[in-house]
Amino acid sequence: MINYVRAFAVMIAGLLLGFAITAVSLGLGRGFGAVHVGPWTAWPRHGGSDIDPYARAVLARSGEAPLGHGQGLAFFADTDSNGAPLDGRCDYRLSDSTPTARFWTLGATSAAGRLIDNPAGRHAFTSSEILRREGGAFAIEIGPQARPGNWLPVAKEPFTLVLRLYDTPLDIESAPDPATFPKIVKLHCA
Amino acid sequence: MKISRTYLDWLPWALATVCVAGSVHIVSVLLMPELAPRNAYARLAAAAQSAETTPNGVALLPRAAPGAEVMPFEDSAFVEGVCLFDLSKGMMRVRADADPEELIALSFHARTGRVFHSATDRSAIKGKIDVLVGDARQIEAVEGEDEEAPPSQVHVTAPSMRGFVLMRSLAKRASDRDRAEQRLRAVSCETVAEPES
Repeated sequence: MINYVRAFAVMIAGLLLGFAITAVSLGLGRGFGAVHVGPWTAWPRHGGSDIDPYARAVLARSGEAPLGHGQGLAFFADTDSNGAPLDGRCDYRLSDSTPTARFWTLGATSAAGRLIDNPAGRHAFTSSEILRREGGAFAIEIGPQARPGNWLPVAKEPFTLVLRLYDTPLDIESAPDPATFPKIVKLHCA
Repeated sequence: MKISRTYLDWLPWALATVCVAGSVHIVSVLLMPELAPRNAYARLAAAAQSAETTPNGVALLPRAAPGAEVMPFEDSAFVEGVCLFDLSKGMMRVRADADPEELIALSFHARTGRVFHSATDRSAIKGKIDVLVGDARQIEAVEGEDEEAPPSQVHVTAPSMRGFVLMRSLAKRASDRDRAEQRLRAVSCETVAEPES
């Protein structure tokens, strides 16, 4: 009799533990094969048939449709170039350069990937519309208060920046040079 | 001695717990794409029902607004459309015109989320994107009698019967959204019968 009780306890404990491990492991990351370039991280395998089961589970749970291999690459940043978490109570400046791509877009979302409500109705910049200085250099000002130039508004909470490179010849196999990616510099905090 | 006896007594039960937990973990991760109620397919299917469908068969997704996004982490600079397919009802043919100045990107997803084909207008042949999606048997039947198939047509084998084609048309500036939508309206999705063998 005692053995039946123990077996039952083992089943229940195993079930709970198994679901707990799944919940924790899916919450920790976005699967394997991440490519880190400075503060930016991409998961190139998300866009092809070689996506791993963890990444599939994470994307299925969140409901994302990742960019395909043949389209481009998405790089996510939730820290600045010094490694401090991005916080909407601070002002940031994102500056040159960007890797070669036919088009790129740079957007800000909440940590869960939702758009951030703002009076300017601005959620992203494209490489075509960005205001550039003479010579082609640019800077994007990120913060909750309106600023002159390329202002990308965020709310006063943690946020994520997403740099998407479309039709990029970027070679992910040979580690990309962080100097070719935009730098995210914290200016000051409220 | 007594401590190690108790320890040995519990060891098999602890191992059993770990085994059960491991199996549950693996099975739940593998089944997540099948069972997740709000995966991309479910979200797009719901959005496509309430969205405007063009005469060419593309459901135009509403513009994402804060609190009303169809999917998380979507690029808000794009106008998006979707075609859902069910290969048991026939193959799916997607056609679009390519304009070298404008970006239009197509990605083909299985219902459980795997991207099995993706392209931009860069890979168009003679200015046309023409993709035929079928299961292995349908594609084999088409390639067996390739007299009729246009040479610029790309044949893609889908890993599952159901899935969706997501089309993204870039609005380079906020004022370009209408033109980006027009380009999306020119994209066509049609169900084609497989050739009789």
